[in-house]
Amino acid sequence: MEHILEYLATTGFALINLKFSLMIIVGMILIYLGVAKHYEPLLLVPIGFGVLVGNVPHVARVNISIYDPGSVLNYLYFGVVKGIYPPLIFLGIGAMTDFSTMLARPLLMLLGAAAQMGIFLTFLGALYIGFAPPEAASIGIIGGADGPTSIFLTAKLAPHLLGPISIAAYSYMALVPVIQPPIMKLLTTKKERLIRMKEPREVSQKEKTIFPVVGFILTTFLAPASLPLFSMLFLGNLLKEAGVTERLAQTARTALIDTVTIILGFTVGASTQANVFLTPKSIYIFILGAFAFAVATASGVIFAKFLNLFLKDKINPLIGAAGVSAVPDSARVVQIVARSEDKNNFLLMHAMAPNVAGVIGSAIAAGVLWHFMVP
Amino acid sequence: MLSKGIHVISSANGWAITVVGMLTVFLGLLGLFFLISQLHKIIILWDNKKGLLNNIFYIPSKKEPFPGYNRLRDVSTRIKEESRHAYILAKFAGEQFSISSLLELAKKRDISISNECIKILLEKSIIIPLKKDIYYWNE
Repeated sequence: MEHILEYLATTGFALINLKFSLMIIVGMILIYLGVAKHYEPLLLVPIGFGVLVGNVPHVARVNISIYDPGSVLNYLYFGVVKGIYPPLIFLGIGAMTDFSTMLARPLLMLLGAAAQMGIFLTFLGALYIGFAPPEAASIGIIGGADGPTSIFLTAKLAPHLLGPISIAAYSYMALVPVIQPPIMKLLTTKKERLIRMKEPREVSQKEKTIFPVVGFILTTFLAPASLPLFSMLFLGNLLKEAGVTERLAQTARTALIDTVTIILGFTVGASTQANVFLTPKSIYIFILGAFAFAVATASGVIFAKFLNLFLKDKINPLIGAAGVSAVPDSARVVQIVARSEDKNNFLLMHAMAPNVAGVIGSAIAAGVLWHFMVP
Repeated sequence: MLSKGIHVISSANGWAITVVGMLTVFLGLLGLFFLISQLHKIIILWDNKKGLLNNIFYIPSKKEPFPGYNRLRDVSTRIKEESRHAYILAKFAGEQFSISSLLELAKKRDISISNECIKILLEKSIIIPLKKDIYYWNE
């Protein structure tokens, strides 16, 4: 009887408390958003399930938690802590991404630069409310709307905040269709939202093949700290465009990225144990994350309006919102908002240009922040 | 959490990092913008490097690069180069070819053959119509 009672005292039912319960509810909400609402299901489902896994109460001696050295989850988490998974995801993103629209109208890349304002203003905001500079930099990068970049930088600068920052980054990425439209509509007039853009020129295969090589050299020479991310992004794109490595590109954009996404999402979710996640810092991180997304969206839209002052062929300022990375969700949101005004206005391909430029911009920003934070 | 306020930003070099960070992001993407906006022009130049070199260091060749070349003295180097490509593709297409198939072959190989070039070749009777949309190269 004594053994039975002793065993029962170690079960989750006996150990559960309010914090664990709350986190289990959070995990369920994330799964619900992914499955029922289709908000980034490929990310939210593994993350949500990871949150459940990370918050199963257990006694410390069993050594199964993600933070217990030598546990299975700890080994899987190694790739997050050491920044291994984000570059692998970038390899897959590179192998998926078609840079044609950006190559056809490179001016739109500047919208991707403007949207990175969200990163730096949030960095200032986090410093202002008392976060240490490396923590502030990690929180700021949420504004890049790029999950792998956020995880990569946080793993380097503030690993103790990996859970809340990655959950905030991915949650807000999933909520792009909810966060962005009101800001986009608030900052544009109906007339501006109705602007139709010229068809982009056709891009030759040679251009597409040369771009990853010259793009890599230029960006890494400018921000060498971003080398792990850029090397993989541009390698993936070269594999796609070279025409002779289709098999490798196919693996990178399917099996590899899917495998890494499952492990990354799951381990990031499992890292949100109630005792490390439910802190006042996490609440601040979520507030600052929302601020970062809003500022990034607004900066892109406002900069597009600014560019229009000088352009003969006006651009639809809505596409500025796609400057936050979140590929391709923010471009899709632009398309949805534009079509709600004019059913025959197709902005998706135009929005993809600032969208992919945003990926490059946020990785440069991460490199700069990392450079300044490393003593 | 550390202390709060504007002075924390200043003591952590927050303003400087923000300015340098935004400048670097803009410079990086501006650099890419400039590079990309010139890339297709560089590729065209590279593809036409022979024509370009001929333009700079023109040495008249006794041998015609392709039949009808001598009738193109008054046209630009670009048209001459496009005509040379057109001749190679016309040979590839066979004795008789259609303009659409010629342009199709050019597109597949990422070669530029402009309508202006086709027009000049027709005007100078370098390509001659045989029947509806079928031509042959006047050798």
